[in-house]
Amino acid sequence: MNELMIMLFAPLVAGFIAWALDVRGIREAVGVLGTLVPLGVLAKYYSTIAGSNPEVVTQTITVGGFKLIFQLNTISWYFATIASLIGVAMAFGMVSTSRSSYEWLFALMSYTGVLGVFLSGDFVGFFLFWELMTFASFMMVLKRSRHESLKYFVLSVIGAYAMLIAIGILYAKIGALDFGTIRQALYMDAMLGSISKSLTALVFLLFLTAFGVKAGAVPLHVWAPGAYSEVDQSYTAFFSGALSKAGAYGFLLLYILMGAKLVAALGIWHNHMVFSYIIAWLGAITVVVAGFLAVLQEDIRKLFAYSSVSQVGYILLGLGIGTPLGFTGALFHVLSHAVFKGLFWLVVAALVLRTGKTRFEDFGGLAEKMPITFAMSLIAVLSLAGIPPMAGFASKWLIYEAAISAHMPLVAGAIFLGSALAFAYVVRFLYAVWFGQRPSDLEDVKEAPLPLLIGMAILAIPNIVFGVAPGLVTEYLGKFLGNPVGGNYYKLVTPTGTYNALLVAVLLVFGLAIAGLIFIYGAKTRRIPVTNTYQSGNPVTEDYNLSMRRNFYRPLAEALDFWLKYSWDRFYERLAGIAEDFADFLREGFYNGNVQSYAWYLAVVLLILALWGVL
Amino acid sequence: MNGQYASLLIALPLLGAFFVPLIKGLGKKAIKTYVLIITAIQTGIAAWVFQQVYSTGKPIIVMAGGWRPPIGINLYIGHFAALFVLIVAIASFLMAVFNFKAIDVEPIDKYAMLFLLLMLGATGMIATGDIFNLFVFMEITSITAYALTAYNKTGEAAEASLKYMILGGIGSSFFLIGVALIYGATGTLNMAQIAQLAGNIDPTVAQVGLALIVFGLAVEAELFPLNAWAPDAYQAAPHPITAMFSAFVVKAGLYAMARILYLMSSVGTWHNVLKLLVVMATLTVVVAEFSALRQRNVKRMIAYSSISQVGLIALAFALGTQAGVDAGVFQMINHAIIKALLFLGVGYVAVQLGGADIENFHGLGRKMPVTAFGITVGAMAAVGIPLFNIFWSKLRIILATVEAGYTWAAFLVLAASVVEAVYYFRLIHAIWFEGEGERISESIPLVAIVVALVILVVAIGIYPNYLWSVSQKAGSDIFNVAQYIKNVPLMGVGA
Repeated sequence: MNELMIMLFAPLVAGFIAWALDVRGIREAVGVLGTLVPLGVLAKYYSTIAGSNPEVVTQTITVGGFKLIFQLNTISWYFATIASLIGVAMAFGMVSTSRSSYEWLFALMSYTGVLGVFLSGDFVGFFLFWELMTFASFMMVLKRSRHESLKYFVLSVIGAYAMLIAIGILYAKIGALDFGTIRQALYMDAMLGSISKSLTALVFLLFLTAFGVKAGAVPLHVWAPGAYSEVDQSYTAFFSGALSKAGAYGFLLLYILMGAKLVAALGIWHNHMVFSYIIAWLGAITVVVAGFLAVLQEDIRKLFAYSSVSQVGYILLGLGIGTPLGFTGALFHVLSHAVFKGLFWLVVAALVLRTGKTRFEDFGGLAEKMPITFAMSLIAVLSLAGIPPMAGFASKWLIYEAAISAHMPLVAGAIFLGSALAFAYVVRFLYAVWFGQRPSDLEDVKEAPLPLLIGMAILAIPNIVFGVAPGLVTEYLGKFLGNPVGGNYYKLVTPTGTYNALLVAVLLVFGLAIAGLIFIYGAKTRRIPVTNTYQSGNPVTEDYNLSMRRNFYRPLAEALDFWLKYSWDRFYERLAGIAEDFADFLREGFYNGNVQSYAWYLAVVLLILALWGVL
Repeated sequence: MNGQYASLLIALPLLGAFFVPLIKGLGKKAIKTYVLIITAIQTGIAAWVFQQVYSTGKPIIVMAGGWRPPIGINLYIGHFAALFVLIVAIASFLMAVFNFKAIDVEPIDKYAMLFLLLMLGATGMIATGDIFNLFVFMEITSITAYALTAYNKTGEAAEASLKYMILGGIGSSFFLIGVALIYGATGTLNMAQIAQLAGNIDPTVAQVGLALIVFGLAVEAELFPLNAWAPDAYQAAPHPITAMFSAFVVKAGLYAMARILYLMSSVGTWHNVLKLLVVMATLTVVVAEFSALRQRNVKRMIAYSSISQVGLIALAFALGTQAGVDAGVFQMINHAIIKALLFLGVGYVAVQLGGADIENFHGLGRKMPVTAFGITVGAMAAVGIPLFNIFWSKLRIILATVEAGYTWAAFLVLAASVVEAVYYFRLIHAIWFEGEGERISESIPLVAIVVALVILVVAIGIYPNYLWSVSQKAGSDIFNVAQYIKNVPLMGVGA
C-alpha cells in the first residue's frame, strides 16, 4: 500500500538528491530514475485498475490534523500515467538540455505536485500538491525571467486562493474535506437545496477561476506564452503537456463532485446544463482566440505556447458538452495533446539546443541536418493538425461528434475553425524550419543528442499507437463513462459516425508508397525563389516582403487589426500598475512618518469604538 | 522537582540583568557571553517547564510569596505559557549568539540589561495570572523596547523610539483605565476570578473595560491603525532586537489580548468587540502587505510582512472559535521561527554589507550562500508554499475564517497574500539571479543557527503533527476558560 507514497515522493526525493549532490552524470541518472519509479508503480497497478474486477487503491495519512487520502482509481490512474509518460520523456530531454541542478530539483518537484493533484482524494492534499506544482514550475520560470514568472505566479496564486476559499465554503457547509463525503453531501443537497443558489454560483465561479488559470482558458491564459517560452524547453514538454492538464482534471472534478448540485442550482437552458454550457463556451473561445494568436507568432516557442492554450481549450470544450461522448473525447484529447505537444516541445528543445535560435526567420532547411528530429516533428505536426491516423485526429473527431450529437453547432464550428488555424500554424512550422533555403550559419547543425531522441521516441510511439488503435483508449475510458463509443480497437463507432483508424492508416501508407514511387521515378529538380509559395503572382517589394519565414500571416494580422488592439495582457499589466500605485498611496498615506497623525489614528479608533456602541 | 522552581523563569533574567554592572569591567565580550549564558540557562528551565506541563497535562501555578490567589499574585504556566516561554527563551538565546556579530555600539552593559529585561517582560506577560501584574510586565517590556529602539543612537532611531513611546504610552494608559474599570466592577485583579465574575458585572462597564483593554493592547499587538510606530521601530532597532520584537514581543501583546478577550467571553456584547477586531486585523494584513510591495529597504519590508502576519494571527484569535484559536497559536509558533530566521539573515547581511537596502541583496547568493539560502527558505515559507511550515497554519486560519462566516475577510487576506508573494519573490530573484559578487566568509555559529532554523521550518512543513497537537493544547488553554478557572485554586472566594 505504501507504493502510492513511494510513487508520489520518488521524484521529489530524486530531485532533492540530484540538487544536493550536483555531480554531472549522477544528477541525470538519479533524475531519470526518479521519474521512472511512478511509471513503474502505475504499470504494476494496471491490472488492478483496469482488470475485470477494478479496485480502488487507497492510502491515508494524517498530517497536521488533516486526513490526506490518496486514491488510485480509473480516472486518477489515467491522468497519472499520462503525466508520468511525459515526465519520463522530460527527464530524458533534460539530460541533454539542462546543466543546472536547480532545474532538476524543481522539475521533479513539479512532477510530484502533478501526481499528487491527480491522486488526492481530499481537498487538503489537492490544494497542497496544487500549490507545490505551481510553486515548482514558477521557480523554473523565475530562473530565466522575473517578469514572466511573476505574471504566472500571481495569476496562479489568485487561482489557488480562489480555490481555497471555495474549499473553505464547502468545508463550512459540509464539514468535510474528502471528495467522497463532499460528493455525497452535494448530491443530497441538490434535492434539499440548503446551500443557496448564489453561494453555489460563487463556489462555481471560484473553482472556474482556479482551474481556468491552470488550464489557460481565455481570459486567464496570459501567463502561458511567457511562462512556456522562458524555461528549459524540455521542461515545457511537461509544463504544457502534463501540468496544464491539472486544470482539465480540476474541471472534471467539478463535474464529479458538484455536477448534480450545479445543475439544480443553475438550471437548464435550451436542453443544456447552464454551468456546463459556460465551460463549453469558455473552451470554444479559448480554442479560437488562442488559435488566431498562435498563427500570428514569429517565435516558435510563442507559437506552441498559444497552440497549447488553444488545444487545452478543446479539452474544456469536450468536458463542457457534458455528455459521456464529450467526456470521452475530452479525456482522449488529454492524452493526445500531452503526447503531441510534449513531442513538439522536445523538438523545440532540440532546435534551441542545436541552433540557439527561436525565430522562424532564422531557420530553414534543417530536415537534412536533423533527419530523426524532423521525422518526430512530422508525427507531431500530423497529430496536432488532426490528420488521421494520429492520436490527435481520433480525439478531435470524438469531440466534434459529441458536439454535433449534443446539438451545439456553434461550438462545433469553433472546433472546425480551431482545426483550420492549427493546420495553418503547423504548416508554417513544418516548412519554415525544415524545408526551404538553409541560412549559412546553420550549416554545422548536428542531429539532436541521443537522450533527447529517446525522449521524443517515448512520446512519438503513443501518437501512432493510439492513432491507429484509438479503441484502446475509448475502451478504457468507457469503463467509467458507460461505453459511449462502440467499435473495436481500430474502429470507433458513435451515434453519428464511424471512424476506422486502421483502414485509414493502411490507405495512408499505401498512398504514401505510391507517392514515393512517383517521387523516386518521376521527380525532377527545379529551382524556385524563396518567396514563390507566397506571392501568387504579386510582385515582391522591400516593404511588403512576406515569406514562409517572415511575416507569413501578416495579411491576417492586418485583417484582425481591430481585435488585436484589445489585449488581455495589457489589461492585466495596467491592473498590476494600478495595484502598485495603490500600494504606494497606502504606504505614503498611512505610514507617513508623522507622529501627530499616528496619534490621530488612536483618537479615530476610540471614536469608532464609541460610535460602534462599544464605549 | 517542585513546580515552584518555575518562578526562576522570572527571577533569573531579572537578577541576571541586575548583575550586569558587576561584570562591566571585563569587557564587551564577557558581557555578551554572560547574556548568552543567562539565556541558555533560561532556555533550559523553560524546556524543563515545557516538559513538565506537557507530560502531566496540568498547568504549573506559582504563588508568589506563598499567598494564595486571588489575594496573592500567581503565575499561570499552562500549555500556552509553557510553550511560549520556551519560544521566548530560545529566540533570546539565538539572538544572544547574534549579538556577538551585530552589536558594536557602546554601552554594551546597558544593552545587555535591556536585552534581558525585554526577555523578562515578555515571559512575565505570558506567564502571569494577574491582570495588574500583566500591566507591570507590559510596561517593563515596552519601556525596554523604547530604549532598545533608540539604542543605535542615530537620528532615525531616536525618532522611531519617540514615536513608539508616544503611541505605546497612550495605549498603556487606556489599558490601565480598562483594568481599573474591571477592578472596580469585580473587586479583583486575578484573571481567573475576573473570568468567573465577568458574567455578573454590569454589561456596559464590562464592555467599556474590555474595549479599552483591547485598544491598549492593540498598540503593542500592532493592529491597524495603531501600528504606525512599528515599521520605523523595526527598522531602527538593532538587528537582534528587531528579531525579538517580531518573534515574541508582539506575540506577548497578542496573547494578552486573546487571553483577556476570552476570559471575558461571558460578557453579553462580547461579539461586537470580536467583530471590530476582525475588521482591524483584516485591515492590518491588507495595509501592511501593500505597504511592503515597493519597499526598497529589505529590513523594513520584512517588518511590514511581520505586521501583516501578526494581523493574520489576530484575525484567527478574533474569530471566537476553537478552530480559530488553535490555528492562531500554530501560526504564532511558525511565524516566530520564520521571522527569527529572516531578521537574523537580513540583519547579518546588513552587518556584513553595510545596510539592508535591496541593492546589497543583488548577488547575495554568490556572496553569502548560506545566509541567502536561509532568507530564501524564510521568504518561501512566509508566502505559504507547501512543504514549509506556514502553509499549514495559513490553511488552518483560512478554513477557520470561512467556517466562522467571515468569507470577506478570507478574500481580503488572501488578496493581500498575493502581494506578499510578489515582493518576496522579487527579493529571491534579486538574491539569486541578479548581480555578481565574491564569496564572503560567513560566521560559523550564525550559519549553524540559520541551517538549524531552516531544518526546523522544513521539518514542521513535512511533519506538522506534533506541533499541531501542541498548538491545539495551547489553543484550548486560551479558549477553554472554564478549565482555566478550575485550574487556579481560588480558595472559594467569590464563586
